[in-house]
This record gives sequence, C-alpha cells and structure tokens, in this order.
Amino acid sequence: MERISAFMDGESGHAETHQAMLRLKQDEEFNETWATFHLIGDTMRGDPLLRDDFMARFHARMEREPTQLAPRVTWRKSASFALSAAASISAIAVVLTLTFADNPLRPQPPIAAVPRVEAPVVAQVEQNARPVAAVNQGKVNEYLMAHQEYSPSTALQGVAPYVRTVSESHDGNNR
Amino acid sequence: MMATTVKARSRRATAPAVLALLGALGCGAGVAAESANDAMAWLKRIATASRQLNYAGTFVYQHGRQMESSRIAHMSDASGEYEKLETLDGPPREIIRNNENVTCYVPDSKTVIIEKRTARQFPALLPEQLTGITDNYVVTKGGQDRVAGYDCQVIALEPKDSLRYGHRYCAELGSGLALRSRTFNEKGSMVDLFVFTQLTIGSGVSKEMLKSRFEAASHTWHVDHAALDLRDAATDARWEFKNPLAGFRKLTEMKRSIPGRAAPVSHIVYSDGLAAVSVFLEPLPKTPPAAGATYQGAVNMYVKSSGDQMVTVVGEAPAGTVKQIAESFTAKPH
Repeated sequence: MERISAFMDGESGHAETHQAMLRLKQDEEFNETWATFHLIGDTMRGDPLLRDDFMARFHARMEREPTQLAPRVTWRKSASFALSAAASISAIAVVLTLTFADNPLRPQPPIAAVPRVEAPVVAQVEQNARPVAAVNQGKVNEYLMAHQEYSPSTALQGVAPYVRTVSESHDGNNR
Repeated sequence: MMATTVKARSRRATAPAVLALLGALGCGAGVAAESANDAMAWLKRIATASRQLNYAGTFVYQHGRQMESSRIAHMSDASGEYEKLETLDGPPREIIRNNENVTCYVPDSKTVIIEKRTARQFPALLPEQLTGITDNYVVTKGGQDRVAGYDCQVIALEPKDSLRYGHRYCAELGSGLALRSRTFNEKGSMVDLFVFTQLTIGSGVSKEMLKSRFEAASHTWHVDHAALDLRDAATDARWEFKNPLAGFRKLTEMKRSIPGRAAPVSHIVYSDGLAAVSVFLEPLPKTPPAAGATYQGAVNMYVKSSGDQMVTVVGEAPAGTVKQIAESFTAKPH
C-alpha cells in the first residue's frame, strides 16, 4: 500500500518504480489498489471524473476543443532558440574571419562570450491576482482574519473557513 | 415532448392536451417552489447544525492545486460555543474559538493573535440574510451523496449574476452538518473545497479536545490584540463612496485595530446573504503592502491607495466584484 502511494507521488526509487510497474501489469489486486487510490485522489479534489459517462463526455469535449498544434510557450522557446542559433552563426563567422585574417594579434575565439541574444520577452504584465500565501509568506493575514468573523460562510461551516487565514503555501510560494 | 404529443393528436384532442400541459406546468411550478423552500430549510439546518452540534473530525481544504488537512472539534453547551481548528500539514497553527473570542496560535513566529467579536451575534444566518440569498441565488435541492461515511443531501446555490460565486453543500441527512462545501466560479470550475474525510457527530467530543497545546508555551510569545478595542463607529467623513454593487448590503460598520497599524482602521462589511465582502479604510502605512489583486481559493483581495489613504477589500467573491467595490471608494482631498 505504502509503495503504491510512494509510486503515485513519484517518490519511489528507480528499482521500486520498476517493480511497481511490473506488478501493475501482472497483479490484479495491486492494479485495483492503484485505481482506488486514484479514485480517492480524484474525489478529494472534487473532480467529477467518476461518472460513468466520463469517457463519452471526454470524447465529446475533445471534438469541440479547437485544435491547438503547439502551446505558445513552445513557440517562444523555439523562437529564442532560432535567434541564439543565428547569433552563434554570426559569432562563428566573426571567429572564422579573425582566424583566417593574417593578424598576429588575433584574439582567442570568443566562444564563451558568444553574445546571447534572447527572443524579446513578450511583456506578460498580467492583471491576474497572485495567491495570498505567496504575498504573505505564510504569515497570518490579519485582514482575512478580521473579515472571517462576519462571513456567512462561517455561519454555515463554523470555524473551518478560518483555515484560509493561516493557510500555507507548501511548494515554494511560486506556483 | 409534450409539444410533439399535441401535434400528433387529432384536432379534437388538442384542447384537452393543452389543458393537461398547462396543468403539468402549474404542477411543475408548485414542485419547484416547494423544492426551493425545502432547500432554504436545509440551508437553515446547516447553519444551526454547525453551531449547536458536538462534532470532531478531519477535513481537507483545497484551493488551486494545493491541499491541506486540518483537525476540527466543536462543542456547544449551556455556557456557549467552543471550537478548535488545527492544521495537520506544514507548520502547526491553531485557532481556538470560545464564544466571542478567537485566538490564533502561530508557534513558528511565536505569535498569538486575539480577535474579539462584536456584541452582535455573529455568525448566524439572520432572516435578512436569507432574503438576500433568495434575491441573489437560485437555491435548489440536488441529489444525495456520501461523504466521510455519512449520507448527505446536496444543496446548490447558483448565482443569478457574475458578481458572486456558486456554492454547493452536502449536508448530513440526520443532523444537517455541512460535510462538504464547494465554491465555483462563473466558468463552473471549483475554486475551493472543504470536505470532511473523517467525522464523529454527537458523543465522543470532550473539552480536552478543545484546548490549545500551545496555551502554556504562548505566555512568553508576542501577542497581537487585533480587535480588542473594537467599537461601532461610522466611517470617516473623508471617504466618498458610490453605492456598492447590486445585491450587496451593508451588514455592519466599525473601527478596529489591525496588528502593525498605528491608526485605527474602519471596517465595513457588505453581504449578499451568503458572500461577505469587507472593506478596510486607513491612512496609507509607511511601508504599504503591494497594491493590486491577490487571492486564495474563493477569497479575493484588492489593495489600492487613494491620496494618502489606503483601501483593502477582502471577500469570498470573484476578483472583479472585490475590485469594483474597492474602486467605489475614494478619499476626498484635504
């Protein structure tokens, strides 16, 4: 059980992962536990994947989705790659010129100093909100705490919503 | 389906069919009204259950891709209401509520934050709030589900406009306690979730479970008396504001102190019956917090400066709503 859990979370070692993969193929019970753990995870996340018609809905949605050949990030990366490649070529050309020129004082090829030309970064001044935890660095948000007492959600759920006021960002505050 | 039946019939049969159709519609409306009343009754039960029941359990709070579990215990007797909430993941933090006092223990920074409620008995679902709910949301009774081993009834609140979020509760059949609470944005995506994974209702809750484990140690900690000098007061006349958004009514207004702020802060609370939005007005502090929008799950926050003053708006409402409320406040020049 624990091994399945570690495997699911990507925390198992190489040998363990290999073994788990083998068992997934052969051992029915192991397979069931694997499926159950994913179900638990999905349920806890509130993902409505459990309905019987999930695959049908998934296919229907795929049909409706516009075809996207490559995400924008990939495009920007390749553009940046192309530009640095161009920069490299021009740098090599410079080096070649210097090498072939009859110049006793010719400098060492500036390999390490190849100018890094980056693709212009698309200004992503996003108006999107940042997570509170990232701003508060794990401190209690006093405004949120003062607000909570007057929130009708507190009337419906008791003290539980207060967890928002002390909620911590676990993964480096920079999701 | 009714329409095709009508068409398919001979002319002579049309009149009775139309009558039958009208009858069915009338009956349908009756059922809908009954269902809405029933759903409202459930909402009242949920509010009462969270205050009057004794319960203890573990719940998961999920917002964005983050998930954390907490332990909660609640007890109610002749002397009042007692609650304890402690986080189980990450650094330990505890929130204790004894009637009107809320104490938050943060062992990491050796800090105790003490909050005090006003005389008005919050939290409670007041009659005027219930009217607000039906004005702004369509309340329906959904199907039944099972959470933490208990059968529960789904109650859905669909917002009538994009100024608020949608909510879905699943209330335990016997007691009405909310076992799961989900908030949805206008796209229908879940923005946050509270769900019990383990729960005991009724017996098995003792006063011991409601005590802080940091109480003794905290005597040497730093204490923030956040709102001990809380008092009802009208907002400074130097503020101008347009009427806030549709469906949001002023619930209360007070002056309070906020840790780290020299001057008292005006705190105005607006509510649409279910969601609340707090507006904090104060002189711009020497080191002002970053202006703009932040969020955590269903809670959005917006900070802006206006002249030498600052407005902070916090609420369980969409970012646009919170921002619009902030923008409706302007400090008059001296």
